[in-house]
Amino acid sequence: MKPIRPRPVPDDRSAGYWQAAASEVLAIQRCRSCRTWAHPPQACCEHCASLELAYEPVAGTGTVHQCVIVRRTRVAGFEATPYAAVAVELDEQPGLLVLANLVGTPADEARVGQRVRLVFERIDDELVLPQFKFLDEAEVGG
Amino acid sequence: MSRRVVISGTAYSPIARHADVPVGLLAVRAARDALAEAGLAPEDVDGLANYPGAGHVGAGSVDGVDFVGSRFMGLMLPATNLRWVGHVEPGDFASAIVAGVQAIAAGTCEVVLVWRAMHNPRNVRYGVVAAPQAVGDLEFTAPYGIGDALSKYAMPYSRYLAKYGARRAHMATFVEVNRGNAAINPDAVFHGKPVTREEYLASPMLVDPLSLLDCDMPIDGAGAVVLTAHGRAEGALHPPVHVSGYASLNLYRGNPSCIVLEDHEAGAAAMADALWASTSLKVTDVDTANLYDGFTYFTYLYLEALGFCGRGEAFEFIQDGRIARTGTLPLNTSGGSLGVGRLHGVPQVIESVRQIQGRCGARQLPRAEVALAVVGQPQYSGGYLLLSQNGVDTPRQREEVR
Repeated sequence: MKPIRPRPVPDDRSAGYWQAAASEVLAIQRCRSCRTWAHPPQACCEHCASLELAYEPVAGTGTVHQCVIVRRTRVAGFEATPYAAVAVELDEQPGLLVLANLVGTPADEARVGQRVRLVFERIDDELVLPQFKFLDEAEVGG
Repeated sequence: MSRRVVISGTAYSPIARHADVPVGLLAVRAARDALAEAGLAPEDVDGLANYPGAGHVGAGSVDGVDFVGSRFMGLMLPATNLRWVGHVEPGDFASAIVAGVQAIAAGTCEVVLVWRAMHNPRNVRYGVVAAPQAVGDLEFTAPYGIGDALSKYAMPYSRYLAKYGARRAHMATFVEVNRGNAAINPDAVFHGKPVTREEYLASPMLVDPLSLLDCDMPIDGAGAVVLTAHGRAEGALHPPVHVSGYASLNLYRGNPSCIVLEDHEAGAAAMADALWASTSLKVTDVDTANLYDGFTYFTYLYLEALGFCGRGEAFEFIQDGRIARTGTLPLNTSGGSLGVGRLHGVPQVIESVRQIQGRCGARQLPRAEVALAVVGQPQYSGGYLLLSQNGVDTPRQREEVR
């Protein structure tokens, strides 16, 4: 039997993230009180302890803070290598990182410091993953 | 009261890729050998301290088979006169030693056994994320093919390389020195197997920027140390080594699902501050350092945080023979985790003790009065131990002497 690629199992804290992703929106948990963004989502705001948290859409642009190129995978369901994963610092807040794959370009081209933008990859009927691709500067500022 | 604490016995079990006996029995063997070296018997043990975690993703959970906890050790040693048992989780071998030091210093017990055992199961690919449910810390990583130790720890190394301009050729120096030390260490899984710069540079990439030779080797094995109140182990075979400073902050900091270089640096810096605050010794007093090298680049972060060099400078610091046995800072003279095997800090501690005792044979340093053992993962801090031949005390103990 073909190994199954790991699937997120949303809980009360993270359900809003995956619901938004299914509609092709990247929404990040944000404190309504102090306006701090947090990812992965938290049980309360770890900045001001508020319980008033909500998911808000982000612009979907950022910079590669760290990246890896997986040549021998140790995660079931990922037979096709190499693939690149990037930890993207979103433009909304310093240190606000979202991890995803780099798509639309050979994995070997992943580099720290690259500008990227959000795209969505439909895995199957139920799962849509936020991903990132190189930001073409001609796409912005229009 | 606050009593002085010494390490009076150390032992490794046999180390192999796969053992023919359960790892629990390897741990008991190491424990008994360490006690014998301290001139003590199982009935003298009144305290146990350990970090029981199996230590790799996907590991089983049977005490004595997949990991070795206090239940198995207490039963099989046997330890029949216990007054105190301490578990450190998350933690590591050196943090468990710190807990034992504190228990003795507080007068709770006099003889504490600390061990660490690791199991490498046959016919199982080590450290694989196999569960189709991505929950907890894996919820936002495993759907992207990330979450095993290699892919998580390759992430911050990519930033180190980009931020400071380090290259694989710099790291080749470290690997060549480490594996050269392991090659002359009879306890090492890579005894007799040095690695050249060229072999390191040709090593296959697993998760770029980490190659095969950037990783320690999974093994079956165990190590143990015996801590005693100063004066308790009068029949020890070798001069006991003093614990002259320590730090233990097992506090996971930063992003739980993505390890970030800056969190690594903050964790190691906090530990270094705590270590140097605990002792009158200075970084310039350290004759040799054994820094945890489960992944090669950890040693860069420790060298920088501890003050052997500035931040972002370790890859240059390790060049020019500085970390060789003949250099100004002999580093990982046992071969470290890369060379001895994946024993989570056992090589770092035991080598520090034995260098001070002058027992290291072909790799013995001419001067080793003060040795530093650092264990852990930089972002969750871990345990740092400053060991000495002549017993420089912690600040609190110095106050009491006055």
